[in-house]
Amino acid sequence: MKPLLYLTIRKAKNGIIEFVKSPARLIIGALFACMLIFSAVTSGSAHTSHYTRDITELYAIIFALYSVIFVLISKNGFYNGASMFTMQDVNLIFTSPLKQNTVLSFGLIQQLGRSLMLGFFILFQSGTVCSTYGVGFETLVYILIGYGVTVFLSQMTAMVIYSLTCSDDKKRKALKSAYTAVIFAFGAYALYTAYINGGITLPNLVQATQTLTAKFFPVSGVIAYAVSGAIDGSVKEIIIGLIYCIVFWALYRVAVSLINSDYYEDVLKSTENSFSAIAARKEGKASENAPRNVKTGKIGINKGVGASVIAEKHKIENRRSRKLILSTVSLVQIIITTVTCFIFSDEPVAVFALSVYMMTMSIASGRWAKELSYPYIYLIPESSYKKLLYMVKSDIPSVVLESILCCIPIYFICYATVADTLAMILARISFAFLIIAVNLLLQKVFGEYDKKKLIVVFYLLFIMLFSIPGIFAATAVFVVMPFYLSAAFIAMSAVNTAVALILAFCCRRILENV
Amino acid sequence: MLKVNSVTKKYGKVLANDNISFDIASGEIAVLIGPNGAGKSTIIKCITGLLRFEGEITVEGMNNKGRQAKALIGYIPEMPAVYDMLTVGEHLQFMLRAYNMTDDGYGDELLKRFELFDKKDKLGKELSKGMQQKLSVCCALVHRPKVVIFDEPMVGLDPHAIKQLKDIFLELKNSGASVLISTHMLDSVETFWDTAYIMVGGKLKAKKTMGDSTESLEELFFGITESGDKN
Repeated sequence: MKPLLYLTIRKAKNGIIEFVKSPARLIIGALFACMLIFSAVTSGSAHTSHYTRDITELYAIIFALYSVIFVLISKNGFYNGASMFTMQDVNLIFTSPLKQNTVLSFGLIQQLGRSLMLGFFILFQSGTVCSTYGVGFETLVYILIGYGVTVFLSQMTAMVIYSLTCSDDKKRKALKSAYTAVIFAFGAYALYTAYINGGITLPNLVQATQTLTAKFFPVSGVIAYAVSGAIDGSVKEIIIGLIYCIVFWALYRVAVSLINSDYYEDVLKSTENSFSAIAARKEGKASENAPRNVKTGKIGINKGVGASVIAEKHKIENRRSRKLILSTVSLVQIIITTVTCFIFSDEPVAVFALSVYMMTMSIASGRWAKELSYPYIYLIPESSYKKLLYMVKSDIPSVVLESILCCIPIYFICYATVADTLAMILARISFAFLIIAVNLLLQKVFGEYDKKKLIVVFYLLFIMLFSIPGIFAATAVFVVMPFYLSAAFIAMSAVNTAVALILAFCCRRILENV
Repeated sequence: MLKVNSVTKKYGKVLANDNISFDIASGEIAVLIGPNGAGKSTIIKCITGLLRFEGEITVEGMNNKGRQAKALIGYIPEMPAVYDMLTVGEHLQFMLRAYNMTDDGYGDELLKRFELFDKKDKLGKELSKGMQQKLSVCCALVHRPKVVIFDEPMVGLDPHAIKQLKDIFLELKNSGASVLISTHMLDSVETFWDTAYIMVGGKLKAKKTMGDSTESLEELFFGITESGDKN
């Protein structure tokens, strides 16, 4: 048997055996399977519902999703190259006498498999997508396949960019300018097209993404077009998409052989980076999302004594990682919330719920969570409770600002009242406290337990569980005073904050590992 | 025999290796020493074909990037990385297949020497860092390479494994292999090096042959690196 085929089969076989042998993985697998089946079943009934939105909106969302993925992945070519290999591949396969082309095909197929696995989250959106646009579950499968292909082609683009520019800074700058210009040109085109068609509104922007010019956007233009065709049941678009992929692949192979057939170096840096990040994660260390060139700026921690020095250190770290108040994740949340406001303009509570849901994933990446992965906070001779408070302190301004900026679009686009908007801001902040408290509880319950995926399941379950009192209070108030939504949100905020404080009090000694 | 001829490697504007040349004859053990950031790992990655470079590197007279040359190289990286979902035994089987060789029992012998034989059916992810390093050594040697490159091989190894590795250095030398060891643990290679290459700032600053002087490796190292600082 060929060595790379042997490797793939053995890894898959051992992976399945490990999965079956591990109760934790079985539980997670069963949970995911149930959720998937539930999504598929409910989407089946949902897409027959009475009212659906314009399907071109979905096509525009697909185009936007694929475009963002293309830009995020391909731009790595200007820095690290592509990351389709693992460090194990570098150490054991790159140094072996296997043909470079065979190794490349292996890496790309491996990447395609990984992309499809990562894209599984798309299938869980079936309930919302099917009921909103009146489509079936198979639509989500088409979107997933398109997602995998987009990631695959974006990786190839990143690798070609790196090969072209890695040894020549002038070339890198020139190509980066051209790349940025292309992306901005398409953005400007979409805005201009919408503007001349009656103003920059959501329907006009949606139409702008359906023009012939938009199809020329690299990778995502045609892939989104092909997926839209598959949803419509049109063979022509699918064939065009397939031809595009084949031509792209052929051009890529020609480009790699012409630019530099010896591509190992082009994937090495990125592979080393991701290996270091994985190693750090395995050791329980949260990696720093720092910019490429860190500006040190003013040197020295001149404030803070005892526990308060933690907060001062966080300020310096935030400055150097260019996180002034809002992180990139916060900005993404604000953008998604704003876009959702346009789509669900008559359902402000749903938009609010989405913005809280996004926070469940982002809040655990705060500076306070990173601090827990280092030993220093445990060693500082101060009261644990005080250390906990200072640990969280630097994240509070960003939580508050993020909540304000997420709720302002609800006021302007969904026409929520001022009182409702202010109450929603309060409620979102209270959810942030609650989520932080749940994180502390997880730390207390699981400590160094290394089954991360199982912990994530418990994390979500705990959040749901501890949100119940707040939701219950809000519902009760709303039943009593149905015309005062703000009162319901204020009740929710009060209960959430109380629950968070109780949880934090119960976990006050986590820094002593008690 | 390994020949490194006028190798220069740049990362953008940064000159990582500046016109490096050296040879390692068959049956010779060369040590590559130098402070952090001297360019040792870069030249090793050039030799093992992981990086592009200017200049020439040959293995037994063949270009190091060719498949025939690669079949003769064994590489033990600084950071061991083994496949999580492959057992210890399967790692060696994979290497033998990749190098198109049949199992002659040498793999099992290596596993026994490094006390990994009883863990033959353990998955890579179940091994400790030290065990992963031992497996990494076994993977690099199982195809009986003629040129063996060790990048910080002793890090994370227990005393038994260090002793085995030292024995293996000498066995490789006696079997006619060219051995290059990059290390900061000067004491650990003190007794069996033939040639020492000292790198500073991407350049090869000195070459010493055992018997050239009575100085220890440590004295040689500090003599060159600290005089460089003063200059």
